[in-house]
Amino acid sequence: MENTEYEIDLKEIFHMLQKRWVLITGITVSALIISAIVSFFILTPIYEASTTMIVNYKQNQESVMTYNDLQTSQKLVATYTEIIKSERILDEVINKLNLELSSKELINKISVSQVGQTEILKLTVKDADAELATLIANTISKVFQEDIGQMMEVDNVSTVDIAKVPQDPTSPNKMMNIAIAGVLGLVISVGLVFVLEFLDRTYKTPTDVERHLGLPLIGAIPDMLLEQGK
Amino acid sequence: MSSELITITNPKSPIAEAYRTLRTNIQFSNVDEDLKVICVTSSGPSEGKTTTSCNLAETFAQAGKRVLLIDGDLRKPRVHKVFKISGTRGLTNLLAGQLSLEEVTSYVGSDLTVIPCGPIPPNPSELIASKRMKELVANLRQQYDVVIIDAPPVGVVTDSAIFSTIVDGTLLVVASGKTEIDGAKRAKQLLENVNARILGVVMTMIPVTKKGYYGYQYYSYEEETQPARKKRGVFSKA
Repeated sequence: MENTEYEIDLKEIFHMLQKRWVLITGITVSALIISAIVSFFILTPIYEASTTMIVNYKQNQESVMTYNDLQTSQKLVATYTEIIKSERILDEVINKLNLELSSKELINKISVSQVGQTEILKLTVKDADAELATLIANTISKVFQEDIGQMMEVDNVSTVDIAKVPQDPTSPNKMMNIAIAGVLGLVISVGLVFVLEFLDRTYKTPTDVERHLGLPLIGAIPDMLLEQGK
Repeated sequence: MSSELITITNPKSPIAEAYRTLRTNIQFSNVDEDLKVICVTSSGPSEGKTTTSCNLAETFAQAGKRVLLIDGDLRKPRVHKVFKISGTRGLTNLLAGQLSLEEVTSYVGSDLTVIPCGPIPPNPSELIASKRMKELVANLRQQYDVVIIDAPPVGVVTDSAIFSTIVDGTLLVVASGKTEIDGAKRAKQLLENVNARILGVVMTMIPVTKKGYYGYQYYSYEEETQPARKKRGVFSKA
């Protein structure tokens, strides 16, 4: 009698998507538009200023640098990374620049990392104000270099590149945001179409009738309004 | 004529062809028994019962049969609106014994006889279940080749179930994208409960694409000679 086995073939899925393509494009396009509006007008652009420093450790004051010295320098970078983020350094920077920030807030703006396996230290400062970010980066670099001399009793850190005022914001990544929104919109709308189709318990095609009702189909009348092109 | 009467307004259209196919299928389901009186019903309202009844009746008439169409929906009659005839005198007058058969019939289309509903009665189910109704059907059976009764939805009121017991066969109309699967199953059950003979299902409102019905092979010779149908707008509902 009733055939409960329900086959979904590709053609049916394609038709299902085709039928609701307005919904799919609508959701996708609105996701694109919303993400564009948010990226361009609502999100504050964030600028990134970076400065690099090199750690140059020499055990004795001879001019030749040994392999041992190089290794020590690389290991020192890890130590210095943490020292830069210490309150001792940051508080001094805040005092110097008269920033209205706590050291914790400042930590969130900066990131310090070792460049690969080298003895180079990279300090990046993010802020909505490009010039302020540059100023903070360079001040931290300066304060750190002075302080480290006092702490370690050696003067072995020097600046490679000072931070320059960035011209373009790094965040929000508008194109990336829009692309992600587009893909998400597409996935969500297609998912929605499947859910709608699953919830729609109506007969669609003449084959459905025979499949679900177990009665012979003796007539199939096309939609009159469509046929007449209205 | 109303635009619903496509078998009259455009007898060469693929839709009219679909009604002719339905006519043929009904004729072929009548191999052993005498199949003269047919009731058209569906599970819910607005699924194409009246349109199907009217066009099917007209299609039978075009085949040279003596056809009578009765508006059996004594609650929301529509047949007289489709044919644009007066609905003030009809079946209910006949059942009440107020008027004779000749006084309530109208002739429309290709020699098609129509009995509209008449004044809406307070007790439709009782009228349909009356002895007079049975006698009327038996009497009309003698005079016509085909009698088609447009009945109310079987899932809503009991009238169609009563009709199906006095007719030879019942057509169940199912609208594509509209009739719920469970509703149609219930309608089928209700008809089976009274031992109705269900001739089969007529699916209406099937969406058409340029290539034909979706999921249903559909050929038409006329289609190619007709001017290309206006391309459906991008925002029209499929």
